[in-house]
Amino acid sequence: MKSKRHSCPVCDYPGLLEPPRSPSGGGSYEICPSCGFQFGVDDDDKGITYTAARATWIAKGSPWTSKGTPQPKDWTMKKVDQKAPKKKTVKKTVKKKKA
Amino acid sequence: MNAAFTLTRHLRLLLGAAILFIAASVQAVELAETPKVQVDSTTATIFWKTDVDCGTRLNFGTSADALKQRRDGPVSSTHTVTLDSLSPGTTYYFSVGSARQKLATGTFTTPRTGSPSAAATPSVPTKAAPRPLPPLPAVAPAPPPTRQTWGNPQSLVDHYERHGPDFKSTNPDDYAAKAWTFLQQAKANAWPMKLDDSDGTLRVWNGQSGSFAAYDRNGKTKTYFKPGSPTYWQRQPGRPIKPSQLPFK
Ligand SMILES: [Zn+2]
Repeated sequence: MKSKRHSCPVCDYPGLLEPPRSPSGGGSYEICPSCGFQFGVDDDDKGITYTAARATWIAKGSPWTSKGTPQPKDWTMKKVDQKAPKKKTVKKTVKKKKA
Repeated sequence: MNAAFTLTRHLRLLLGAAILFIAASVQAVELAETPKVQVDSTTATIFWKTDVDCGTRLNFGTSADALKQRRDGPVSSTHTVTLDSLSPGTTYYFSVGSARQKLATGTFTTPRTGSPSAAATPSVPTKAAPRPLPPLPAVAPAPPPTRQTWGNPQSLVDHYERHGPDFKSTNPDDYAAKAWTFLQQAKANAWPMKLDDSDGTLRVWNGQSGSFAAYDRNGKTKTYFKPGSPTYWQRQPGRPIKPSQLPFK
């Protein structure tokens, strides 16, 4: 059974297991395996915006951050538009083919 | 030679009696009263009772699978062991029994220094409110294997690397075990919990240690950490829920 995947509002990685925000607005607590942003923690506790997190991640060279989730072959930092961070809405879910 | 024969016979009788005695003493001791813990920020006293007299042994440590420290006590049916020089804000795991037999396991968490029940320094003026006796934490059984307690196994190492230091966790399994123990303690002590009906997430808070955890609809851990923001818990969504109303065991 393949469950629906969700897109990271920070780095656009399309393989998040849960929506970053539940309908109630609560964080999923999922750590994006690509950029490392933790929803409900980096934002709600540390006050980091998606835009700022994206800029920081890009400045580091857009590394794959997870040590437990392997990087999909078709997901590389080249996919990221490194010059123009896109504006994201919190609940946006991008329907892409899953990685 | 007669004297020698009698001596041998006596020795045999003595040996037989000794074997009977040892056999009787090897019979399984049973727990008459499960361990209870009274805990302060740096000390903990563990009490338990056995159905017959036996030795007192307690092993403990900060990791469920490494109870490296040991305390022994006298032969008795009521057993008391006091541990001192503990670290504040730390979860300890222990087993009790005798040198022969382990009878029960449990866990407790010392309050953080500076939290109301643990704030005690020699310079505290006498007009300060008397220190309330900390509540007796419920003794939880040893944690199940990580695969039964952690939601997404692939995510564990990332959560451990980020939040494990909050709880002095020594490895990912230890971190997962502590997150599970936190939920058991929350249920036993009716710590604040909120259930998010929109996705089934259970959020749990302990103001004394400043610890927060989230669990999925099956009770498996999503994350466990100590928020820095003092208003973090208040800002988390969900409706307050009692342990008896939880959708999982
Ligand atoms: Zn991301």
